[in-house]
Amino acid sequence: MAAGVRTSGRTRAKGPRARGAVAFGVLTTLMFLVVAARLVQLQVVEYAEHTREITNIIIKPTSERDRRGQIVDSRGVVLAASVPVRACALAPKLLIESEGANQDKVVARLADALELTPVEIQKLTDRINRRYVPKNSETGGAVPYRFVWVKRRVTDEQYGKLAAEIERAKREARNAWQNRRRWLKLAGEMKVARDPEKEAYCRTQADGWRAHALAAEGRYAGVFFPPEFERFYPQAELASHVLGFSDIDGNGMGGIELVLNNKLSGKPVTRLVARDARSRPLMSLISDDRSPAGMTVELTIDSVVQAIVEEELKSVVEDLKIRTPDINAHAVVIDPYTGDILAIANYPTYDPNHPRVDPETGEKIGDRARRNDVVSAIQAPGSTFKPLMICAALEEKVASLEEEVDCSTFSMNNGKRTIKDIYPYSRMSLEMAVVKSSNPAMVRTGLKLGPEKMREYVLKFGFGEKTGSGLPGESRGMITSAEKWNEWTMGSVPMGYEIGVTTLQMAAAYSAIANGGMLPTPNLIRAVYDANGGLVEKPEPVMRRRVISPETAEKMRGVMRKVITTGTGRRANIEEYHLGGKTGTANMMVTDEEKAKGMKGYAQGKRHTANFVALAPWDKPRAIVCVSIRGTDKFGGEASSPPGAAIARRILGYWGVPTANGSPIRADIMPRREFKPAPPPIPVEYTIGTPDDDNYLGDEVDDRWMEDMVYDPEAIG
Amino acid sequence: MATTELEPADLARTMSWHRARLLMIVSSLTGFGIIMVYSASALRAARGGWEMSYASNQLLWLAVAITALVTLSLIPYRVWLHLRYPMVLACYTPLALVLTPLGTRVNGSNRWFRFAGFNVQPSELAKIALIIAVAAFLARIPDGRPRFFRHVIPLCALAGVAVVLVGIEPDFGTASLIGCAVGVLLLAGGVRIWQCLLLVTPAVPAAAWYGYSRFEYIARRVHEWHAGDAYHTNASELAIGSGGLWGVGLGQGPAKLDYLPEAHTDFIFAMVGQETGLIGALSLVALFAILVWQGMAIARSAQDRFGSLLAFGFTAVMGGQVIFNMEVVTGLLPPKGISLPFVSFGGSGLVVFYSMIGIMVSVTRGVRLEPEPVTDLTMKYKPIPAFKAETLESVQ
Repeated sequence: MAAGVRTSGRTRAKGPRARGAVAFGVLTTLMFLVVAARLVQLQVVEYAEHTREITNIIIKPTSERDRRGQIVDSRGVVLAASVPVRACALAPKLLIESEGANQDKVVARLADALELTPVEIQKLTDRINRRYVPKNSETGGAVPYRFVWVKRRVTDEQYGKLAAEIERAKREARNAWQNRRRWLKLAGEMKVARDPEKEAYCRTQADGWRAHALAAEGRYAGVFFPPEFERFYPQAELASHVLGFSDIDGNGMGGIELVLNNKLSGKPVTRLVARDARSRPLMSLISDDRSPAGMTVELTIDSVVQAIVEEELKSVVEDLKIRTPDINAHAVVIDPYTGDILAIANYPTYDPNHPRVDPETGEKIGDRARRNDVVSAIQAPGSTFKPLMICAALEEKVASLEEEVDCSTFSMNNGKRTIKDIYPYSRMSLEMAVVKSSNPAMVRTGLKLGPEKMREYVLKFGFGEKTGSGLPGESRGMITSAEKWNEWTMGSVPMGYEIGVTTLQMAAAYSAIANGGMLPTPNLIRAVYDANGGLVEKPEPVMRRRVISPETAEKMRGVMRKVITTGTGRRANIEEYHLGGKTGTANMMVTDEEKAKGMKGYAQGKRHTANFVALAPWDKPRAIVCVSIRGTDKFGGEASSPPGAAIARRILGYWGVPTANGSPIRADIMPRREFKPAPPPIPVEYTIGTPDDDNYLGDEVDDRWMEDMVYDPEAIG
Repeated sequence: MATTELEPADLARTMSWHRARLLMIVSSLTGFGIIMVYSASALRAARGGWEMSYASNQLLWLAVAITALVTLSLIPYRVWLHLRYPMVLACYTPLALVLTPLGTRVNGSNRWFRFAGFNVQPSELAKIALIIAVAAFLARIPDGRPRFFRHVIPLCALAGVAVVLVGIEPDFGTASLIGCAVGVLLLAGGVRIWQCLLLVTPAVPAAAWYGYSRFEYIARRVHEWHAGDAYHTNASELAIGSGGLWGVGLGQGPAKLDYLPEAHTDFIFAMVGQETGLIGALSLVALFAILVWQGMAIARSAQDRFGSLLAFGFTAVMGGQVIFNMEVVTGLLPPKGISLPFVSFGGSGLVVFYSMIGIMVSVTRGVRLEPEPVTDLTMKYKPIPAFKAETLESVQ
């Protein structure tokens, strides 16, 4: 055959030609085995290690908390609810890394759009410029933070405007990038066409568009809007001292918000969220396992009763303020049979939506205004303590209501101390002595009881211990210790001095008289429901102990009725309902200012705690109303019994209790305020709070930009 | 290469089985590839608006590739023997052109032509054209014994130019792959190993040094890889390792979430490892091993030297590329831009590999039942008139 032409045949291939194939086959097999071995190493031997590592990289825990639970009253009126709001945040890292961003200008734009104050602007700038060294940093270099707040609580208007601006900037950047690409392409064509002049022009255009795009991207670099919740109190200052308030992060700062913070806030669920390499959330690995919303707390508070009490307190304080400007008042209404607290009010009050400013004057207010005096103010009960001591004497059978007692001025402690009445009495029955609130008669009866028994009953009535209402800041009061319980104490306690009690303790103690002798635990929580409405807990009424017998209690109710009809509480003697009650006046301790002026002890005749306790109605009480006006120069019967009676009249009317004189229930019983409906349950869009740093340049073509594609340096924003 | 001793009819039957097996392997690889491309690219594609955009693009290219396969399988492979010079041209021209401004510069290298929205990699075309040319030249060597000066040097030069052209794009991965494949083909074609080594030995360190010193980029990559902190390698090792025995499930692999770069192209094997685990990855390795074995079987049974060398050359390219890719992905070699045949996303690669399969199918179909008629060379030319003395006189 001629050389090189033979193309086929049966040449037996032997020798060197087969070697290449064999070598290749062996090598290939070997390599495949190497790959297989490597796979086994990676996927079987080092599996656990790699899985752990990749889990750490990809799955990042995100602490998420759904909205805080509502607080509702026993009628279902929403007192506190959480509504979703927007906040504005910034990722300094992205801002600093953004090539076209001018940090000052970005801050200025945000300040303008969100109406930031100069102080806030300064703070923001400082935060942007702050650096930290990451924990697992290899280089040890300080890096900018990934998250700072720009402003919490961005209004819808501000958000809408800003979001539109950001969207516009993004669109502009996208178009600029597209234009740049087109100019570059054109430049390439010009290069091929060997037209360096035009090519250079095209490149200038492309560079211009690049700068434009970067500038547009940088206009709001790193700005984003994480969703948040705002605590909202639809009824404003209604029951504010019970509710407390919450801080900007939704943590309870007082009242029920603080006590039941764990239940209200729900469990903060740490969701595992897979994120891509740019930290964008992709999917929840615990899919749809959303953190449960906080539990709903139903209070025993009745908004109508609460509103009535608040209105009455307000009107009486506003009246008395003219004489004594430094005055405040508080009141509590409880159900004596269950211990349910129906209303707790303080005046002056505050709006928990703006807990730091006075709702009327707009001035800043301190903690004092948010203090719930009903449970935390320790005050001398004065004459309202007398019936309790008489109960003790009756119970111990050292005295009887019918027996005559000496009401004349009583000299104690070898004449160092004189117990007297303002209007001196001579002798009268013990019952009348209580009705007229005679001090010497009380002290004499107290002496009959003896120190041990007296102290025992004081403690039995629940003084010196917390009532168990669970409200924060609750005081146990002040009781003289057994060692110091001397003659002087014996002369003071029966008339309600040398003892510090809270109004809630008084209300609980009077409940024992009202309900036949059992001391209830005041209770504020009717039920707790979970986010789906399922009952979580429903506290049963708790009676702490029997204090007095039903007979004694009944006798004492009769005495209290007489106080209203013929005694010191005549101003509370209303026609519609037959109330029982007891007035009390205690001199307040001197203030620090007065101490500095050399005064000591009680501010005699100048500032009273004017107390009034009402059983409504007297024979089978449905409510105990305790009113305490602090800082007035008037007496209990004068200052506190009219509002106490008004409260009793209105709440009994509200409950539809038939009037004693058959008159129709007056229309003015209902509170003048309206109850605002709960905010609608706006669903929350869960975008996990990371900035969207996706500058994906889509392939979509926006042809509007074709005409003005020529780069205009003025156009850079 | 060994050619068969079977009778032509038996050979044709054997070949039809080879053909069926080859096509089965290729179609299962491609089917698996499409699924993996979809899985690895869906999220990235969804960002652009349509999660199927990559997978559908791949399907479109698959249609083109199948057309190429069918066409080439219908063309008798012996045709390529006569087209060896055009093949050399087809190899060099695009490689040279891509270095001119016609090529698109991506990430500092000129590897692509971009026209009508498609990216075409000329080095892919070079692979197939160079193999055809080298196989043809080798097949034409009389008695199958290449002479050093007459055959080996020109053939090595032929391949060397192509390797250098690819190398200065720069694309060292493909350059070394082409170099290896052609080297193996030369050995199979009868070139002695000392002949090869004589030429290659000084070239390899020279090329390595050149690449290492000239291109900071590759130096950095090799350094990083050696130091164990190459991002690509770490990410792909992590991805494979986290797959475990059974994998995390198709579509569930988190590595594609931008953690693993090129998850749908060069590093798709890492996605296979993560989503289908050791079982899936080993199955893929086995499938490729069977493909290589099948290619070698075709080469062994081919009726003539040219068919045998063609099949062997293509098998070498495919097998080499599979091994390169898998070793890069499993961190045994420093990262370079080499895709996994039939599986990775990428249109031009798919078309080129399908073309190779098409030519291999043509080899299996090209069994001549009748012995080839011996061509009388004199028939090819017009009879040359013999000199006759008497006419001289008349001329004079």
